Amino acid sequence: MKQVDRQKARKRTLLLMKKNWLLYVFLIPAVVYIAVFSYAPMYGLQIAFKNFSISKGILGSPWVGFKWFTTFFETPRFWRILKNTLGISVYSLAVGFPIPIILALIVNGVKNTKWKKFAQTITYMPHFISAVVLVGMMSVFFSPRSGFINTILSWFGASGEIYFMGNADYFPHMYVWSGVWQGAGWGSIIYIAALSGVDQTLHEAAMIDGANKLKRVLHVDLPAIMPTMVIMLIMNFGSLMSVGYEKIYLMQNSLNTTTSEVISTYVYKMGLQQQQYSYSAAIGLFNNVISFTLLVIVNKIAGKLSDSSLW
Amino acid sequence: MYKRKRKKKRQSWDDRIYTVITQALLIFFVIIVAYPIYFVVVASVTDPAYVNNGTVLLYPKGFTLLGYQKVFTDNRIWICYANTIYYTVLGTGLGTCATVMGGYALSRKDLPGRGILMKLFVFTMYFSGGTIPYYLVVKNLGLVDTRLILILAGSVSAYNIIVVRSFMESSIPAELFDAATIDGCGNGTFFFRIVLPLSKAVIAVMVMFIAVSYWNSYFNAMIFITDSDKYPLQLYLRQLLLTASVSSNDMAAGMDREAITKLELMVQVIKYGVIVVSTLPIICVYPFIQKYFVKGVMIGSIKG
Amino acid sequence: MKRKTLAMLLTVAMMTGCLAGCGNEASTGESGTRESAVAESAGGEEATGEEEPSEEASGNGEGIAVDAYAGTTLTIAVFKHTLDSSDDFNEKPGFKAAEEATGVHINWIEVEQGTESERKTTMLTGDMPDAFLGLLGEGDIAANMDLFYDLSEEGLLETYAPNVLADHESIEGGLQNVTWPDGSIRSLMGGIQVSYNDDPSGIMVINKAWLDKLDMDVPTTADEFYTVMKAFKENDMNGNGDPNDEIPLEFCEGNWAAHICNLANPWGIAGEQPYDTEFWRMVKNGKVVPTLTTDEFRAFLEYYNRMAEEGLLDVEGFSQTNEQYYSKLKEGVVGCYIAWTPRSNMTREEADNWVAMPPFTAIEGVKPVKTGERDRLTAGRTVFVASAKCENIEALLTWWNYLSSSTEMKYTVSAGEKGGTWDIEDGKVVERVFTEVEEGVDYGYTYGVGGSRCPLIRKDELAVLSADMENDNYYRQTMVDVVWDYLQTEYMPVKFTDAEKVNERSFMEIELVDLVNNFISNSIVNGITDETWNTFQEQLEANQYPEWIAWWQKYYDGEF
Repeated sequence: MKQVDRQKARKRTLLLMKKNWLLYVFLIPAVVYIAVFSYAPMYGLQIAFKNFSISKGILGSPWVGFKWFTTFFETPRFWRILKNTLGISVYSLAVGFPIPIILALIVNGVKNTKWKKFAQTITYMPHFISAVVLVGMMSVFFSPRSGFINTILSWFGASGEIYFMGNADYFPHMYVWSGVWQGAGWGSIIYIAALSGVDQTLHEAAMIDGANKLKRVLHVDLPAIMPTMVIMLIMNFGSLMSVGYEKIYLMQNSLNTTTSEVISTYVYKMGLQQQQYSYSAAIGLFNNVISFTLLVIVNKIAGKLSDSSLW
Repeated sequence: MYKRKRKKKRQSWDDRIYTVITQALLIFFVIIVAYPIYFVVVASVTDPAYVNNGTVLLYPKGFTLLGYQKVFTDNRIWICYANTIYYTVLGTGLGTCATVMGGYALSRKDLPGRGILMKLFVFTMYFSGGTIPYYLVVKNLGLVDTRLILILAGSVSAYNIIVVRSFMESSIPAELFDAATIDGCGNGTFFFRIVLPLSKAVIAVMVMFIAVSYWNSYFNAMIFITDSDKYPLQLYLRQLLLTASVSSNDMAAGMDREAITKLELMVQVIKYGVIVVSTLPIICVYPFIQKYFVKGVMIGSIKG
Repeated sequence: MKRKTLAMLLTVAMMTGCLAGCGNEASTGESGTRESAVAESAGGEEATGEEEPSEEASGNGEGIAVDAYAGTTLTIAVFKHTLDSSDDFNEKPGFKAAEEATGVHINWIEVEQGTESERKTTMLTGDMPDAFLGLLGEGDIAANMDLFYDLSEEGLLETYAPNVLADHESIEGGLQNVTWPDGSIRSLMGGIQVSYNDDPSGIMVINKAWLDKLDMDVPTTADEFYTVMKAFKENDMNGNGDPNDEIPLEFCEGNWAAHICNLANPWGIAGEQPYDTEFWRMVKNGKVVPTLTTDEFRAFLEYYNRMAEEGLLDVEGFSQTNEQYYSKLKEGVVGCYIAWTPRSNMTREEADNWVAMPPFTAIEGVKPVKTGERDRLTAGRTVFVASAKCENIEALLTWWNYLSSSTEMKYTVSAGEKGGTWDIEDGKVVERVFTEVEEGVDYGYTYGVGGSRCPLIRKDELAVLSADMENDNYYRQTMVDVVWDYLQTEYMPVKFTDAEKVNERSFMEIELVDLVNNFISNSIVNGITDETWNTFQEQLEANQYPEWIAWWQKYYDGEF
């Protein structure tokens, strides 16, 4: 009986494959691309378990097992670095995930087309400002001596000499909120696009039912972009361990390293001193295994709770 | 005019509160974002000393066009500009096609092997072999120091494919395809006649995402391109802007002090001008993309 | 004008080259270029007779037979400076002369500043050129020893690079400077051997005009310094009507010369160079001694903590960018800071108000020292590196030897043709103020390769400075005179170290840098107590500070 079932299933699959052959053709460019540019170099992962040197090559370098992983775990600052990394990224996720959605919902509700386009265009611009320039501007704006932010705060009774850039407690806020400033507009694009697909008849129906604007946003717009939100959330969870090094590195100074040292800046500094290919590769691998696991777990949960999941 | 007024009057009390609050929030956010952008523009025509000591707030002080002058008299910047446009246009075309086609195929629940393929794609977001094997693969393909590699590399990303897939999954219901099949419509016709027109918004988003990533990319050029005539703009700018900050490391390598001071001064002068010049064209892309975020032509009308 | 002529000459040279049939298509794929380079160098080898070397040995570049290596093409990867606006390295007069004299044609791979680390990696991975010029560092060689040609081979340098060898042997330490622990020589030195002006790195300068206004002298003790700084703070020194905008003492962690650790000089703590780790240890009577555990170190922190609390030291120095720092200096609100020369930070007139200030005495009985090193070797020890794969090392060395053949040649390579930024008077090279420069073109870097990638310029060959205060280098020299006597007299030896040993130290340092810098900045901003001090001492132990000192002791003793 079972065998028959299986045979039937196989037959159905084959039939589907035959029927949908064109879809496989559609996939060829993307699959070839990742095969060549992502999977072909994948053998390089082994350098995390080797003592790699350029002159010996990837295959010729000697194996060292988990040496680099243990080295990393035994670093005196390991737990602090891990804590900082997770702290900053969870904070970023908590703030950086909903704000673009809220922004998109607000922008979507704007009636005046010109103002709408203007707001959209302005808010997306900071995405193009490089980290060097962004941090340079922050340093000027938040200067305890001459920054205008301190001047404004002093109108409200603050001391006016708050040293924002040189305080370990402020660091996570500075990092996360400057990230929101830079990324919210860009991040909202995808939701704005999704919102453009909302069936207008639903809105009309809701209006006839006497639903107010807020209710319509919550019950019509939000559900419509829910699949996108879920996918984005899954992917955000997958990047919890990876806080990009560039901006943090530039914002780092000796006064805030207790909160600003994260895995990526640690790897970067290690690389500056010596070409620690194997060590960086091991830390990277450790990072990614955790990220990937997180992604798989969150994806499972999402699949259970909603219709959307990655696979 | 009259009609609009009447409509407004009809707005209920809670709707008005909603509008006021959301608009206030939006205005607040736009101001917060706009100011630093405005600052960049002002700073690009201001003596750098004033920019950095906080005396410039709303209007330029010590007006100077030196930054722009330096940028515009630099021949290389224009070569790099042209290169970037070339790579961006071709790469975006290629990337968008591959992404949209791939994303659509993966959005179809009746595609055997879709789960495995998805996993394979997602896997590449987290694991990579590193720069050295990547370089060797490209070298074996004979693509080192060619323009082709800068067009190919970065065209497909798992992230974009996932975005397209999830968009299409939610906006193009399976019943639609079933209905079309009954009408004798095959996969090809369905994709080109129905899916593409329905997916303008996501295609527009992809065009922009991919174009922006090409515009901003420099890493591939940094490792693969030896001929500076093929440099993209960002690599050149990066060199200009980063040299000053990297310099303290070079110091150990015995770079002379006088040259560093010169560099630092040069970088200060051109920094903001360079940002304006290099980002202006790509910023202009967005308004064109927005056109495709039109409402109302969706499933409802087709279903009915 | 000059550039045009050069370009024309080059065009002619290139056309001749093409006609002669050795035109090497530069834009063919990587592999193609290499193959042809190899083929041609193989052809060149035949021409390598026994007689030329003896001719070269005369030490005079003119003696090399023209076209001794005609038809030989070598590939050299070279670091291209951002200020270099030349189109082709073969246009630079030094290299042009070398090609004419030796017949060796160089196929340059220009590696632009900012891309060097990636480009190095890819080259070492598989596209090795015949040689590297000014591109590799000690770490690159240490990690990949086998990739580079061992020049210690019997008779090699003697025969093909006698001038280079003579130069190397004439300086203190001789060939030992470039010899690895295993006895091999993988690189040759380049650049200027020593530079008096460079010895003390940044120098503390004080606003003399402000001192005069207050009728005060340049402070010589910690108390006097404090009084002066206090007076700078309390008065409207710059006379702009705002008595609060003055910053008596400024520093910047983001600036190469102005790190906070340089302010520890009065307490007898100084590094050989102005960087963090350099200050953690000193050599005294042949022993490497720690500085971070001393009372002087604590006194230094307490002193500046008081200054910071009273607003005399600008604590923003810990976070500010270099640009902010420079704009404060330019603004005219700073009373005292660390500079190369004030002229690089402000206008000439303003700079004239400043004087160099030797480190003051902080504690009686503790001799103040100045960051820096007397006669520090400024030459790069890894400037010219031949690849192990180089098929024609003879031609390569002959070519480099030609560039090192005379002082004139060396300066031509470094700074372009004679009569530009330099000249020869009474057999000595003299600096020349050169004004006929194209807008935005740095002459030295465009027509030369700069002072750190040229062949080794010995101390006795150094350009003489004209004793003219208008000359920035001479002006700097007068500043150096003020502090030179305060420089330390005992130093770490200069030598190469095995990659493994360096790694050992790097792993310790990455933890220590974070710990120490955080402690220094926190102590200065927030104060220091017995408790924080003791915790810090414990943390130093836990983070291998004693082991780190021991590492340096072994290094000093020549154990590795």
